[in-house]
Amino acid sequence: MPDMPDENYKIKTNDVTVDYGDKRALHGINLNIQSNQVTSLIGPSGCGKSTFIRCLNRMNDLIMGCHVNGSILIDNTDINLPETDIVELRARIGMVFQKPNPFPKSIYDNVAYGPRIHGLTKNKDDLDHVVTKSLKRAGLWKEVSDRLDASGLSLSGGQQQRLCIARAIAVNPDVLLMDEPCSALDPIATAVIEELINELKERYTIVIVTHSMQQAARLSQKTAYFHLGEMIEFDDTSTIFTNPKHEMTESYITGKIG
Amino acid sequence: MTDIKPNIRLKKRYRAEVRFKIYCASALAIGMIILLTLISSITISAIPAFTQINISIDVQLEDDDIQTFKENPTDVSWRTIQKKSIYKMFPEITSRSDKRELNKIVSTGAYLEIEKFYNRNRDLIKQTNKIYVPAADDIDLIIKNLTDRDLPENMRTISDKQLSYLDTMIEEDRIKKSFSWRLFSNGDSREPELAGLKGGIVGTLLTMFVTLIISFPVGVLAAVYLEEIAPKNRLTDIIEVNINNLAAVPSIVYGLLGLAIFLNYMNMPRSAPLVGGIVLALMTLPVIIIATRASLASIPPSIREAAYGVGASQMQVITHHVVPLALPGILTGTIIGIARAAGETAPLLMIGMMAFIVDIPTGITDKATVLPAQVYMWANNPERSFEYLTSAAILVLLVILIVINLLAIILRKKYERRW
Amino acid sequence: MVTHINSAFDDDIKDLNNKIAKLGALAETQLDETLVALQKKNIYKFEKIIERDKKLDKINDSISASVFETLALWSPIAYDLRSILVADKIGSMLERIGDYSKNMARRSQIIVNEEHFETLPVNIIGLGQHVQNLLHESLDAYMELNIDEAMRIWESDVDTDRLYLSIFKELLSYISDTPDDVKMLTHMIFISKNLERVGDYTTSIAKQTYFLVEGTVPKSERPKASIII
Repeated sequence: MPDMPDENYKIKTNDVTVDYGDKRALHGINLNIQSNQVTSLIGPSGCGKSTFIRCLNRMNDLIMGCHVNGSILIDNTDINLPETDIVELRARIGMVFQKPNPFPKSIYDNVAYGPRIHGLTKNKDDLDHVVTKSLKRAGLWKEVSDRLDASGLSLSGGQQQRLCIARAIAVNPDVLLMDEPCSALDPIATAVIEELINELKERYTIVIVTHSMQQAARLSQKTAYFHLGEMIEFDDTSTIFTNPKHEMTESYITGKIG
Repeated sequence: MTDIKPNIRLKKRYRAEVRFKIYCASALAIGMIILLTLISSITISAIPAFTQINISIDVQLEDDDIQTFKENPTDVSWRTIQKKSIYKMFPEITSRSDKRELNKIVSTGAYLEIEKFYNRNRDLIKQTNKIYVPAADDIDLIIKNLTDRDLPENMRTISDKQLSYLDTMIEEDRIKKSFSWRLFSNGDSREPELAGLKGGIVGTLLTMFVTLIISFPVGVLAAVYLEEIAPKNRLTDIIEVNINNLAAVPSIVYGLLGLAIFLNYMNMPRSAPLVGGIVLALMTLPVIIIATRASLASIPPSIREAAYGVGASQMQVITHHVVPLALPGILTGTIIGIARAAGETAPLLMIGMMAFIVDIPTGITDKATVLPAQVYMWANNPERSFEYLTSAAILVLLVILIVINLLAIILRKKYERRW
Repeated sequence: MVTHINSAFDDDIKDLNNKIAKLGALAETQLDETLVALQKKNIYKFEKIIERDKKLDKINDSISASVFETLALWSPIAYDLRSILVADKIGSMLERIGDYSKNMARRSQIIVNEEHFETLPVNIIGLGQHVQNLLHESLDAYMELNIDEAMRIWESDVDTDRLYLSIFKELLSYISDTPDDVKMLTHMIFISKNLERVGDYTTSIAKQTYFLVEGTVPKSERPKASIII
């Protein structure tokens, strides 16, 4: 990888290790993620890619007995310090989960929840504007503009996931973490989300965990391959998928035993 | 394998399935039959208690009484007025013993009705008034055909003479059957025809109020702490096991605790809904904690992750999302706990709420009793009429419990959401 | 060899490789028999060679179909993808080599009975044998994934060019000397040109072998003899 000046990296991790109790889940990950790109993390189940992505917004804090060591610089500020304001951090680093998980509230309230708790809007008009803008960016506005009062759960799976994306971007993050966002969706809904991710990368830095090789190949500019808690290879997606340097990467992406 | 074998096995399996269904249906039928028998037998024996026999007597106040009533109403001897009025209806009776027997036809509390009448209708003070007073419990049973009047005199509680007076009254059309409002408006009494459940109902409501306002917030907050906030370690494990054990502690133990701590050590009032409520709250707490924890645990972690993901603090996650979603379960658990407490007698025995208390309690520190205690006390009374009253009290208790459970179902339906 | 978790995919790839091996063997036979028949002036053999070309076309069509199907069904990536793309290309090249053999057989039919055919001191057979060796070696290198051998073949293309050029010059001088034989000599120019083309394909096979293994094309420029006189 060519050397780049530091400021071009949105996220820089330095020797990040994660332990669950006395079991080490991640062994010293050094990964630099560029702004306005999609970086995908691939690897077999239990390889630590989800654990890694959850380090980036300190979601691992919620897990009992989980310790994250090493430095995680986001915009050159270490967020893995005790004095980090996690609430503020999670507003800056949005997250979308594997299973669409809208709140059992109206579509409007789902999107408005983040701005409300963070006090981002001054009045109702302001909030309406944020909700509209977020839904538009998430490509959901046309489908739901006439039924914002309907329950978020009345939407289809793909729409629910886009609602979750709208909810995440409503608090104005600059990084979006996506943990297998399409694994519960049908191919059409997946294609819609992928198209959306492609548009969103103009504004946000996106890190996506996926089990679909095709998805990583279609979506991302950079791909990292994780195996047993180690990052085996990190390179341009085109290189990883045409000519990976590491034998383990090749075996994994081509589905070989070994 | 031959062609026939699977066929035989299939038929065997079908038969086994049918048998299994029959077993299940029979089990349900047995349960239903027992329940129906119980409820119908209670209902049938409770029916007489809901009606009441009244006898009308003509009352004419004498000038002295009118004078006293105008000056100082509490000094009027209503008992004497009652006696005089009854004797006047049968002028032919002159002997003292006969007069006494005649007076026993009406309830010993009949004069209360006369007093009540004149206090309400002060303008009718000078004329003769026809006032309905409750019949004595034995007369009540005779008229309701619950006592056989053809039995030999020495096997009845009513003498032949009394029967003949009664017949005269029936001829004169002085007997009236009416709904027994007294059952709901009177406190307890030694006289079945005067005994009511109001004391027990009010006592129960006051006690449940105290139980609810103590056990609900404490139970829910404790459960939230254990389930959402506390680290999972040996200490919380021990606490959890002990809470589960507390739910299985015999309820009388809570009564002993109440007696030792609240009455003897803290000198709280005896027989008061305050203490009863606290004791029952202690008993209900583990139930609420367990139900709330189960309800909280059933909220999918994805909801929590979603809220944390947009930057909600732990308190916001709990108060905005987890608890509202768990509310139907929490309410159900709470109401079941409260319903169980409402039917409890043992712990109240120890703190003196199983007592003969005539006055209707007006606050949580007044002396009071509760419905189940009332049932128990009435069942122990020798008068036959109490048999019917006991059934009526059970029925009222059942209705209150059904209403509480209905409330649980309605709340559940209203707040239940899928996710 | 590391096998895929999905053995059906391995079976498909093995099937494809078998077809390539069969096609390669046929293409070699066609070239060999053309050269032998030309040497021995065996008119009847040529008919047989021309007839057999249809078989090569058929195998190549079947390779194309398999490649298409495998790409659609398995969406292979990395080495798997290269191996299938390379198989497709090599299949087409072998089919073209077969076509050249057929073309040479047709031309040979015409020239072998010409008056001065045998008196010409032109070493077409020598060029043919050189190319034949290259074809054999390149197919071996491909089957064995031997990139050293492949690189050697790739670089040796310059020898073929030199051989071809000398024959070409010779034939040109004959045309000006004996204008009566111009028809035969033109056919001979085409035959030697066809052999030179087969030589080009063998270097292409070698290059594809290198790409298959390394994922990139060889970096250095291939040495070439100028064909401009």
